[in-house]
Amino acid sequence: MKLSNTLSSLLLIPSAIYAVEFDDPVQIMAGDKALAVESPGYASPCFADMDGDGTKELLVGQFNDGKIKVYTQIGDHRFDNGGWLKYKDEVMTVPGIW
Amino acid sequence: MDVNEDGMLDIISGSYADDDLEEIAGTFQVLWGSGNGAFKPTERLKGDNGEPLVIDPGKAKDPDGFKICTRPTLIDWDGDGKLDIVSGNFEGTFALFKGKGKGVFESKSSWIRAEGKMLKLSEWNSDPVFADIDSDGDLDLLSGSDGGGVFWAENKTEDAKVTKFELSSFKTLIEPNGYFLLGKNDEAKPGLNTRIWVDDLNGDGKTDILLGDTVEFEWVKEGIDKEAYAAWEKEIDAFYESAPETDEELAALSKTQQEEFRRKQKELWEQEKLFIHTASSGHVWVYYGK
Repeated sequence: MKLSNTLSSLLLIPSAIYAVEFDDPVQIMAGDKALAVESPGYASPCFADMDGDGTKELLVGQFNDGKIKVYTQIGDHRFDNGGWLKYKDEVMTVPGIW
Repeated sequence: MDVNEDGMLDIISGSYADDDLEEIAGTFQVLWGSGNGAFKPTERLKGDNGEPLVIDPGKAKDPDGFKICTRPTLIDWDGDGKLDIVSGNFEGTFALFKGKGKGVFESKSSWIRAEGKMLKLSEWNSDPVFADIDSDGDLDLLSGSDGGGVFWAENKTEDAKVTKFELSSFKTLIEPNGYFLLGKNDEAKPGLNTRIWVDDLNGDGKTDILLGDTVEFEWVKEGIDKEAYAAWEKEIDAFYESAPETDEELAALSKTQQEEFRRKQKELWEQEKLFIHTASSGHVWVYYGK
């Protein structure tokens, strides 16, 4: 337990007050449209430097066929149109993805 | 994540349920990284017994819900220098597979606990991610859920110098918006089935949350016969006004009445497609840290 939480106990302030606070959500854009996965949805994002070039890419998994799309960042919450993750020109899939 | 610690990033995914298993269970799938952003085809992750990793439901009366909808992340949970898997599931609990190093994991899982009991969301579908969300030097557990929003279990360890977890029960970090249908001109907002990632997206040194969701759309199509649409609306209102409200009420009807109810219901649903546009998708949102 850190000092901030000790103080919160002593002052009877909920410790949750010390969690990070966030601005209102901003929708991620892909090209000039809102990033959208195929029906039925279940967008599952992660942000990592996949190719080791020093910049992070956005990977978004989806329920349909268990496909993953990779997007390159072009600005704050703005990305390119993305492309499916492939192996030898074939779109890769994860069976029974969630 | 570098699952096998070979210096190249891998992609690890859970699954709803694996058709190739005899039991009903989600498995863990890995796309091994081969460098420069390339990955090998999906491979099922196996435990140290050579069998696919499957969550051990323990003595649960209804075990399937504890084994499906796996949702993994990697963390050195026990501070032994080896990556462990923490996975969510349909029930909203969190399974731990201890790592033995180099991408090998113990076959038998255990449950992550908090305040003396199994850590559990109040919603379905746990979705673990670890981050120091309260900036006290230790990693907390965050999770999305089927009901949307983001929840966090505070790590109250006093020894943040080593990886150590003393989790509290879940608190709400980002309020869910609940269930809604988006109309054609409605402003979008984060929906259900939230899947999250934590990073500093804009490089301002503050923690941001990426959130994926599922949203449903519904609106009246353009160019339809408005009189026919009004008649259909009237008919469907009348149908449901007199329809049985529960399965028990339906079962109490005669066989002929039940068949007529289902026939009419199907007919109205088919007509709905003429007038109403329905669709579903998922978006991605960022909550920038203040």
